[in-house]
Amino acid sequence: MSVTTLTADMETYSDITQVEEFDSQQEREIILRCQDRDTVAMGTLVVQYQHWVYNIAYGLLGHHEDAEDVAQDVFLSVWQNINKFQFRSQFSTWLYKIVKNKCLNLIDQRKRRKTEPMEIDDTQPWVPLDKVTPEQEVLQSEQSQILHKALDRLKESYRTILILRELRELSYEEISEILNCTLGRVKSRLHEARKALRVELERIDW
Amino acid sequence: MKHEKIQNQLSAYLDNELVPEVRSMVEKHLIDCQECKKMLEDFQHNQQQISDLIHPVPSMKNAVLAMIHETESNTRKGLLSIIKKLAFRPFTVGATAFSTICLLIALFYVNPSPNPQYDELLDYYFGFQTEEISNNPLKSNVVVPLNNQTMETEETIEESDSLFNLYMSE
Repeated sequence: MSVTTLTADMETYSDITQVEEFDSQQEREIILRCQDRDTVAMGTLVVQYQHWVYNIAYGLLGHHEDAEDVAQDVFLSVWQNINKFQFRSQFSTWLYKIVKNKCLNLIDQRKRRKTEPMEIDDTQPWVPLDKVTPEQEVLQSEQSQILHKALDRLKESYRTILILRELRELSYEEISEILNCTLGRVKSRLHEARKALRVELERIDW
Repeated sequence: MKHEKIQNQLSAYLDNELVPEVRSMVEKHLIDCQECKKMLEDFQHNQQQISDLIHPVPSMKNAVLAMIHETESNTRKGLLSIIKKLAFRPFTVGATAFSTICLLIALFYVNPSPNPQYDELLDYYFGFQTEEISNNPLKSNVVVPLNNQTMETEETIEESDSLFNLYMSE
């Protein structure tokens, strides 16, 4: 499939769901075009990754508007720094590292400003794309609120590793690269994070 | 393997990141240990719950491209203004210096300085021979001999000498 056709398809469906992922050759071609300052290629890259960038940001920040702002900021950073990407790692790993850093910066800024604790914004329903009944919708919304509350109470490092692993299903290798730590550290931290989340969810249920 | 050690492997077991030997040990342990079994079930449930937190995202392509265009145009404007500044600065500085010098020279010739030496210097350097130096006593450092005065002095001296001689003779 040519890149142009792929782009057109992705534009059509990007508002509805995540798009079919590039194969590595297509991705390389798009990135090379971005490095040549091709904004059309950049648009394609945005459509390809906006779903995960936004959802990871939302998982870490718990706020839709912040997640959208961060996601846009991430893509702007990608455009400005795309020439620094030398294909030594996967593009997604490089991208999620930027997402993680931007989100942690925003969390730090919030802490410094001493604003109110993060409020879970659930104005938009967190539902899968399948149609659900209103009762199911309410139940899912409540569950997601509880889950976000529990995630918010976790240490930043635990929350980050859980979102990267459970939401995006990144491999231990990718996580170790994004978090800049060893595989052993990823393994143990993920276990600790899961245990901590379990404890927090039990506390909220009580 | 002890219960605690097995429990610490549950997360890796869930992610299918264990070597086959350890994996089989964990599976054997899970048959008998209800605590570990419950923990694994909770991990699986929470994993499912987090993975359900996927939200369909409205396209942000246009917004991102607009931001990119804005940033690019700002960068271009910034570069252009720097280039303009750098390119025109020598001309403006040169023009200002030249006009200042011209103004100073013009001022000197409209109002000549009381010291004629400076005017002659200007004539020497810039070749403005607008007046004959000899015709302008203010612009000349040639000393005109005052013959009459000298004579008078000599006469005075001679007179005083003759007066002295006359006084002595008397």
